[in-house]
This record gives sequence, structure tokens and C-alpha cells, in this order.
Amino acid sequence: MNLDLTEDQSMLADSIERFGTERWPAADRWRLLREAGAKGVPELWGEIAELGWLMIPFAEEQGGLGGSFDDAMVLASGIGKHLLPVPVSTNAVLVAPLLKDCPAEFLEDVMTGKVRVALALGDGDSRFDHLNVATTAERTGAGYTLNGVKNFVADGGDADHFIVPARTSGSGAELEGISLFLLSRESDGLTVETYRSIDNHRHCRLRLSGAETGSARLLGEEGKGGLPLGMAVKGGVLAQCAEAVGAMDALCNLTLEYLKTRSQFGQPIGTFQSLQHRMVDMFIAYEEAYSITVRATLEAKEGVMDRGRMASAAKAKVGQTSLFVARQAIQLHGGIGTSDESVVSHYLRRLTMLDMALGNASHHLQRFAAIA
Amino acid sequence: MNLELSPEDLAFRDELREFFAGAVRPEYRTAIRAGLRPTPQQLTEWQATLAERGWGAPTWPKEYGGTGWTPTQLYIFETEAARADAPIQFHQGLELIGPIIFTFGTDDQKERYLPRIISGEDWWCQGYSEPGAGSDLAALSTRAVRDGDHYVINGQKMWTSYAHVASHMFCLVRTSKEERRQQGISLILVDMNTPGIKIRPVETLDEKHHTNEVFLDDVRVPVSNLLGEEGKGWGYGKVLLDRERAVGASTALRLRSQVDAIYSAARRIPFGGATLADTPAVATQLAQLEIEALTIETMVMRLMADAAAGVDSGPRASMLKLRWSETLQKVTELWTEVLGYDAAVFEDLSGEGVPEDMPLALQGALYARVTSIYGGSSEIQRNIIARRSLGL
Repeated sequence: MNLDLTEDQSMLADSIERFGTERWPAADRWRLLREAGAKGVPELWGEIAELGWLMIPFAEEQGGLGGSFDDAMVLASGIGKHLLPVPVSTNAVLVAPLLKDCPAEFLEDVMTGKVRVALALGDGDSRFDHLNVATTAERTGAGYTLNGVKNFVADGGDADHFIVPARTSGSGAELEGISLFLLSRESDGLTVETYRSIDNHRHCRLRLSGAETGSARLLGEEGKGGLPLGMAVKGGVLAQCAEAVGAMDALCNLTLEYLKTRSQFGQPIGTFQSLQHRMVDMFIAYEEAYSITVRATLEAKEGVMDRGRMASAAKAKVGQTSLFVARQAIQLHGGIGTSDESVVSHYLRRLTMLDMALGNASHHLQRFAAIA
Repeated sequence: MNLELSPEDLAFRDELREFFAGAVRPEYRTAIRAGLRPTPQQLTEWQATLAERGWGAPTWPKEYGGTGWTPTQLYIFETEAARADAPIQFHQGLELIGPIIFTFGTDDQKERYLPRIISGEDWWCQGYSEPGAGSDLAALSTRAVRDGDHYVINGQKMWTSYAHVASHMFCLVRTSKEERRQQGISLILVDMNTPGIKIRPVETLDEKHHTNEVFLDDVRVPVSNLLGEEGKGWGYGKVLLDRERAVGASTALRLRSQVDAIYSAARRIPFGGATLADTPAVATQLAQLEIEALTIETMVMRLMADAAAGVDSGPRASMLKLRWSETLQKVTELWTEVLGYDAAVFEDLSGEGVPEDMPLALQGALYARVTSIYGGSSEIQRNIIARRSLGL
């Protein structure tokens, strides 16, 4: 039993810390984010690819750095801490295991940031139940024709390809019969509606009406995509938990700093006990979120088969505690915390979206209860 | 990073599992799951059973009769104890005064007291709080005046848990008046059979006698019973409080089986064609509490890792104590809620018998109120974290 980061992981954490501090400094972040606006900061994706970070979630056989859950945790947590607007959790961690059989050149393009892939979620009315797939795939000629709606393609706004779960057989939330397709953004019969979320991430909705795909675009075996999809979502859930934990870390520390420097009634506001106790509760929430995330991450790494129960525990707990921390941080900052100028407000926007993505706390609590 | 146990640790776990399977008496199980202690007699028996196996003092170094276990081994021990619903060893001798004696005591004190703590022959209680000194412990006013080879102690202690069964009390007393209130306080070991000690039970809302007032009236204690240096007792006292929080590790690992107890109760209660456990309201609350328990368990792992690395674990232990007590309160409240009308049957007056979990579930819920007060209240714990860890 060892909960310390390995030497490699510490080095990775340091390198993200440097990048975050230099390239995306806290004092300028609000301005950078505002300037970026709806177009986002696409150049950052190439920069982090150059640092090799996009290789982390891919297995060694794929030319990646191993794809271990705890490495991804370190990566995502650093990104969350610096509020880096790079969708690593979704465009790398979430999709990596699903691309394992893709040609080497394609994988290289993904890992070097030339090509972006996003996973299409939010099928029809399924809300957060990712295995509840109504989109259909019918064999037509050499390939398949897809019909359906995907409401939430996580960070799909700038993606070149989409992984689309569709039914080749079965119905409802049956595991059997889900197939995964890799679909180019340019496919015929595919309409992409891009939108921006409050954290300035760029997602999209896919409307598939007779979208065509060649047979080579089937990922894995026909009808056997349910299990890998569930596993991939689990990895994505864990990475998003880590990202939120990194954000909580930053929020706790910058709020503590504010309590020590902001004066009212002739003294630092951190001398008031009611504020001290709130601050302590924020740090406890962080400790809880960190603990359950590490636990779920390491159990996943060690192959504990629990149908994602521990990952759901983490997602629920992290959702609750991270929003608590972000809301408290604003309260302790007072009016300035609500302003666009304060990075605190950006953290709440991001954490609100992180809680929602891949299922919010309430969904994962129900899921945890259902697996019991 | 990994959670995996080494082959040696796995073998150790199996050894413990086998031991607990044979040694734990199932009749205490419901009480333990309700967060209640077995009777002092049962606890003494359990202590003797562990001592016989060589495991009487799991956290002590070998040279004082302890196991010398690593933090990981200790974690495994507590996890297995929890899994088997074993009684939790009474901590006031083992975790509070024992370590102070082997750290600051004389050779004579070590020889006299340590083996009898491990064997369970002596029962120690903690003479700290007073009517005017609760959270503000430094306000204590019980005095010890030197008279030849003795100290003469006068004063009153309050909330002295298990004073009524204790053979000894470690007592904070004022030996001189100094400028700073924390100075001039000494730690003295008192034999409870000494003339001048009077114990009055404090009746509590759970109707379980566990705490007392202790009156000290011209109690003469040999000077050799002073622990460490005169006037330095506050420093030792603070070390004690840190260990008291660390005790949280052993109790916190019980939460999961405590949640299991509610699952069992909810599953046996029919409701709307299914069971109470199937209703969304109950299922969601149970899920939430199980997640809290899993989180707290992992916080214990991190606390153990701190201990192994020799890092100041005080603030993290305070966090653990806070979250454990709050969660235990919620668990026992939900248990009582799940029992419905059964929770009204606290004492059987007709010889019909009481439902399986009663009165223990409700007694546990009422007893749990004190867990966020004793050993430093939740508010004091927050003050400690704010000061020691956050620099506020």
C-alpha cells in the first residue's frame, strides 16, 4: 500500500505546474479566458501535445505512455488546478481506450494533437445513462447508416472525428448490441451543432440522419461496444474527478490567501472565527474529494471489477464537495468573487460543468445505490 | 501508487482474520454496530484475549510490550477488527496515558503500569475536564499542593468516562500559579482507591452509565506519581489530545459495517410490496452514507501514510474526527428512522421482548451526540485545523 506519487508522476506534476504558472498564470487567467471567448484557445492543445501529455492515456502498444489511471489522475489534476482550457479528460483520457485498434498513423495524429476525437454522449432522451442507446446503425452496402441524436459530445466543438455509440441490435440499456463507430465530422448525413458552455468549453450536438460510414470505421466488434464504452466512461469519470480535485486545491489555497490579506473592520478577515471555520470545511471537503478519487483510481488500476461502483462513489462525492468549495470560495471572497475579473468565478463555472459531464452527483449516487 | 498488499501483509491479514473469526463473540455485534461499547467487563475480557495473543498494544513499540507494527499492519489490524465486529479496545489506558508513560515516565512507572494496561488488569480514566474547564481546558482549577512526600489534591473533575470502573486516573492539576495559564499544570497518576475520592454518576440521555463527576477531597498521592516534570503537564496533555484524535482511526473504520446494519434492517422491513431498502428515499440516503464511509476509510489510509512518513498528522486527524463523528450521527439517526414504530420500544415492560435492533440503535443515536463534543468538540477541531494547518 503506497499513496505517494512515483518519481515520474512527481516530475509530471512539476512540469504541469510550470506550464500552468508560466503559460496560463492565475493573475491573467480571467483576461485570457475572456479574450478567448467563444473561439476557445485551440493553440494550447498543440502546445500540450508537444509536451507529450496527450500520450499519457494511451497504452504502450498504441505508442502511448501506458494509459495508467493514476498517471491520468496526475495529469488531469494539474490541468484542473490551473484551469487550463484543454479538454484532456474528454479528448484524450475518455477516448483513448476506444481507439486501441486504430491504425498507428491515426493514433500518432491524435497524440500529436493534429487530429481531435470526441465521444458522442447524451443519446436522445437517455440523459446520463450512457449505455442507453437509441441511435441505430443499419448495415448498408459496405458500411453502416446511422440515425439518431447525440446531445452532448463532450468537447466535440473542435473535434475532427466522433466516436458514436449506436445499436446494431437490442434496445434500451442492453449491453449487448451497442456498436462503436468512428465518424468523420465531414460525413454525409451528419449535422454538427456547436455550442459553448459557461466554462468556455466547446461541445456539440450531432444529428445523424442517414449518416454513412465505411465498414472500416467500426471500432471493435459489432454489437460488443457496450463493455468498452462503460470502461472508457469510467476512465473519463476518474479523470474529471481528478480535474475537479485540482481545481478544489487551487480554490482552497487562493481563498486562504485572500482571508489573510483582505482587511475589514481594521483586521484581516481571516481572524474571524466564522470565516475560519468555513475555510476549514473547504479544506476538509478537498481532503475527502482527494481521498475518494485516489481510492477509486487505484482500484480501477488494480482491476477491481465493481461495475464502476467506486468510480460512481467518487463522482458523486467530488461533485458535491467541489461545488461546495467553489460556492464557499465565492462567499468568502464577497462581491468580487462573483465578478468575471476574479478567477474564483471561473472555477465555479468549470466545476459546475465538470459535475454535470459524464453524469452529475445525483445521477452517480443513484447509480451507486442501484449497483449495491 | 497502489493499494495492493504485499504477500507478507496478505499473510498477516489472513492470520488476523482467522484469529478474529474464532475470538469475537457475536452477541456484542449489534451494540458495536450501533457505535456503543460493550460492558467494561466484556472490554476487559477482550483486552486479555488480545494480550494473550501478543496483540494487546497494537500501536506500542515492542520494547514496552507492544506489537511494533507498521502503520500498514495497524491499518490491516483495524480493518479486520472492523470486518469481524470486534470490540474496540478501550483507549484511555492504551492510547492516552500509556504512550505518555513510556515517553516521559520513570523506569519504575513504566514497570509498574505498562504491563497492566496491556493485560487489562488496570483500567485508566482521564481526569481532565472540570465544571469550569471544558473546551477551555487551561482554565482548570483542581489544585495539588506539595506536603512532604505527597501531593494533596483538591478539586472536581467532570465528564470522567468510566471513573466508576477505573483502577487509576491520570489527572491534570494545578501545582502553581503562573502568568500563563498553561504553565503550572502537572500530570499526576492517581490510584482510584485513595481515600478522598468520591464518584457521582452523570445520567445521560442514552440511559447508559458511562460518565461521572469525580470529587477530590484532600487526596494524598505520593510524589513519585508525578509524571514527567512538575509544571509541564500541559505539554504532555497536548500530546495526549493528539493521540485521542488518532483513536479516530480505529472507530472510523467501523462506519461501513454500521451502514451495513441499516441495510439489513431496511431489507427485512416490508414496504409497498418490496422492502424499505428499495424505496428511493432510503436507498439514496444509504448510498450517501456508504460513500461517506468509503471516503473516511481512505482518509484513514492517508493518516496512516502520514504516520509512516513521520509527518504531523494532527490536522488530518482532526478532520477525520470531525467527519467520523458527523457521519456516525447520521448513520445512527437513519437506523432509528428505518425502524419506524419499533424505535418506540426502548424498554420492555411486559416480558414480550424487544425488536432485534432496539434499544441499541436509538441508544447509539443518542450516544453519538457526544462524539462531536468529546475529545475536543467539532468547533475546537476546526480551531486547531485553522491554527495549525492553515495559519489563521
